[in-house]
Amino acid sequence: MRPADAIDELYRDHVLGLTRLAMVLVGDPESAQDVVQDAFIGLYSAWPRLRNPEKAPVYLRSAVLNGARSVLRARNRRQSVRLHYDPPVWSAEAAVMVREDQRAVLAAIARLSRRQREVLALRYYVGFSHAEIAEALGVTTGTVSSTMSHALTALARELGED
Amino acid sequence: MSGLEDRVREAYLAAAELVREDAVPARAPTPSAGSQPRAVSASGAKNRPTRHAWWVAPVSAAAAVGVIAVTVGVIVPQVLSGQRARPRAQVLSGQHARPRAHSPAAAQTHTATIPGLPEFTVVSTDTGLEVMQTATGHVTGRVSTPAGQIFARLAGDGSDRTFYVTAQQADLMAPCRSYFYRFSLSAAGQASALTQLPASGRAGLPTALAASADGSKLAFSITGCANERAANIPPSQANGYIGLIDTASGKVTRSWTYTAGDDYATSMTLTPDGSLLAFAQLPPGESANVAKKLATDAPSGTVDQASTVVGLPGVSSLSAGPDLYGCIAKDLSPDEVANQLGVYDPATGHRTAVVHTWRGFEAFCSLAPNSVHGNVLVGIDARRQHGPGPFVPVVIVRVLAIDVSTGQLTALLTTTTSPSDAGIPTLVGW
Repeated sequence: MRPADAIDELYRDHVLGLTRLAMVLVGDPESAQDVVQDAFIGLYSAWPRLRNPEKAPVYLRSAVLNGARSVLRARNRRQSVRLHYDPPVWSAEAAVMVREDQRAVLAAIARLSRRQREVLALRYYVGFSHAEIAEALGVTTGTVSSTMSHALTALARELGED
Repeated sequence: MSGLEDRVREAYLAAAELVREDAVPARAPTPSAGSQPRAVSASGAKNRPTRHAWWVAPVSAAAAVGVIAVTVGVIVPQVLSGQRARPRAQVLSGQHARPRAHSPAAAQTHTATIPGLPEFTVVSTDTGLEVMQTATGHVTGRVSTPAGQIFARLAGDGSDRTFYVTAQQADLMAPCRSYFYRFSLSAAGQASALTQLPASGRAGLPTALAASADGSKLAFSITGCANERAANIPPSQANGYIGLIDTASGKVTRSWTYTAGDDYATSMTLTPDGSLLAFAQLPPGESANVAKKLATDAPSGTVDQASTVVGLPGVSSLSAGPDLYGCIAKDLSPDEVANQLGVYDPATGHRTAVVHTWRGFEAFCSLAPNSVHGNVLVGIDARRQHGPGPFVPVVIVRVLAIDVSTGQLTALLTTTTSPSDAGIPTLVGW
């Protein structure tokens, strides 16, 4: 199969899921779409270097994670107040369409550290195991476990569930 | 922890589902020849079809509300103009003009004032608004955003001196509130302090604003936030409403509610005498805006009861003067979108002439009328591209003045901006 055809097929199979993953990380559908589109553009040049084309979805997910991080860092740089974290910003329109209790959860998640947010998104949105999360983020499973524990503890406190 | 984990899952699912399947481009992007994988040219190497504000659900495929313009990075005054022979524009009562041909632009030089254009133009920045001399781009005044708020919509009343602006809460997770202000310009273009109107402080987010050229009326659209309702609207109906403000008192005199399931108005315009309001709205179950009109002396009630459909399917922005002008986005191909500014018969919705066509990736136009100077409109051409670093989008917005009676096109300024996290477009008014 030609690379362009393979990428087209990957696109059809994965674009919606990847865009939604980017969405939960950056909070803005426009930026989420940009992140994913650029991930696929990057795949063209990365394709010759992929030893196993079946790993392309893994590449794409990694590209989306990196892209989301860049979006949030860029937003942080543009803000006049330096933040010690770079949270996703939910657009006003997105805020309108999500239930109030869900908004509270998303707002609490937004106040976590970037790594905590990524771990939670990969666990509770993507459904990865600890081992899969560790591979995706390039950390140990121990780091994943402790990060998740701290994140859930912080959320419980924030949402009054402790 | 299982209850908390379920809440987290549900919240993520709700957020993720804001990305609709039909809003994601159907085709994979392809890199342009010779470019780096993440370098994108202004002409649109990403090959994405445009979906204006597609992230707003329910979404209007042609809504002009885009995520542009928090910071005005570079303002470059420029001039290029086009001239074409055209018949005299018809009046809003519905006479027809002959179709026009598009002819190439001719050069024009500027002077300190440009004949036929308002002396001052107001543009949004990351900290508020800037007043600039239309001909030169020289900044003559500034309006700072009130603490804790961000400006959302802007309208001039055609006097070159009086402007209205609506703001919302800056904290996107706080309860939604809309605020209404007025400010005026001195002869030198200095801006007065904001005067808050009595109508200010309403629940909901502002989505459109229009002022009549006679200075008597201000119309606005508000949408309710999730689980939050406009204070004076029955919860069973509240999804927002259109309101009319008497500018003398600053109070709302009438309102028309959106019935459940209706999308809110994304563009509004009042006829010069304030008797008729035209607006772009997404009909229930549809995927493209249409233009509607509503007599401002209609009794308060619902938008559906008080308005009639004019047409203009796919309209993103409207402007009323002696004629009805509308911008409509058309997908020419998966890779190219055209936005067309046309003249329309307000009685039938038929297009009677094309004023200008913009082609290109993510181009759209947003109109601000100024009938005082003879059918002059502002068209904004926005092109989205990536900045110097990866994943740092910028939007280039060109502000143009178009005299629809002569076809003269004058480029006023160009801004390079960053996307607005609140999804608020560039605000331009005069």
